[in-house]
Amino acid sequence: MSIFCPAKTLKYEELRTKLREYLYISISHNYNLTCSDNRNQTVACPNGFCQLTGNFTSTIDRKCVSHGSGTNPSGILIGSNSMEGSDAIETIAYACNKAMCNGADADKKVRQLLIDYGLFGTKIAPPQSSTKTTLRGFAMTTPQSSETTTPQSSAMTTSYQTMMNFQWVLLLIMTSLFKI
Amino acid sequence: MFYYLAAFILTIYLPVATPAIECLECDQKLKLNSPELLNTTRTECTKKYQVGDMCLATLSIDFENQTAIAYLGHLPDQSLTFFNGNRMMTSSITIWLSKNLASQSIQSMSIDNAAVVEDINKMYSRSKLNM
Repeated sequence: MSIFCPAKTLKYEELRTKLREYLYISISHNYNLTCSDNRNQTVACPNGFCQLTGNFTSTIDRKCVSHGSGTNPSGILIGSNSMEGSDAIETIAYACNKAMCNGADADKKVRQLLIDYGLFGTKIAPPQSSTKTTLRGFAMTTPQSSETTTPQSSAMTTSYQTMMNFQWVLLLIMTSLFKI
Repeated sequence: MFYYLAAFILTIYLPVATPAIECLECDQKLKLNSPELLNTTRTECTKKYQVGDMCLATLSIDFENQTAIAYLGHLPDQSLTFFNGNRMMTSSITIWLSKNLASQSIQSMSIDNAAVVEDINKMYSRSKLNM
């Protein structure tokens, strides 16, 4: 399952229950919370939340974050971005309030859970459009197509296709006028 | 000769001076647990020219309430300058642990309106399959 397929097999309630086992306790303030930092050291995080951000290959940041103004930010965000024809770049970010829930051990368990549920590490590109797009008069097709893909190097490349149709008509009219 | 040259330069660079792209513009609220279909051919969905570089299709799904909102429109910035015309897709799934809330937002962006319409139709039909 690709993350770009809208959760057709996602059992989100079951997943949330499992995530809560690793990440969440149902109390508004955890005064004795401990988190992991970027050096894998245990740090006190009284009345706060542990936070982890990363991508599929590595963890980027672990820290203690403050509680905020009465909100409970416990949750997980799984993101994915893809350019046409390329593998998706996946990211995760979560905030939790269980002791050391952003540590290496919990991180590993959460990632495995997301992989098991097909939300992470699928490395599947989004569905390819069969529609051929035209860019400044050049053909641009998906990599699956047997047609040549024109290299897109110019930063000035823009999509004013509709105007392209009128250019030569306009040129003819204008040159005719100038002749008169 | 000067006028020919001026006419030529003007017509070549005229498209750059008129940055507009034609995209379908409409939105639709949907119930995932109903047989309701995403209909981008209804009268409210019209193609409009607007300053911007890409067409945008967004499908936002609320899993708890089994509802979705489909939105089609323009992406009003210079994204194409960075992405150089390629089609882009983004997806984000949010699962709250402190409350029963889970949602997904999927976006397709392209200079080609037909591509984003095709994408949103695919995404919606897939979300309906097992709901």
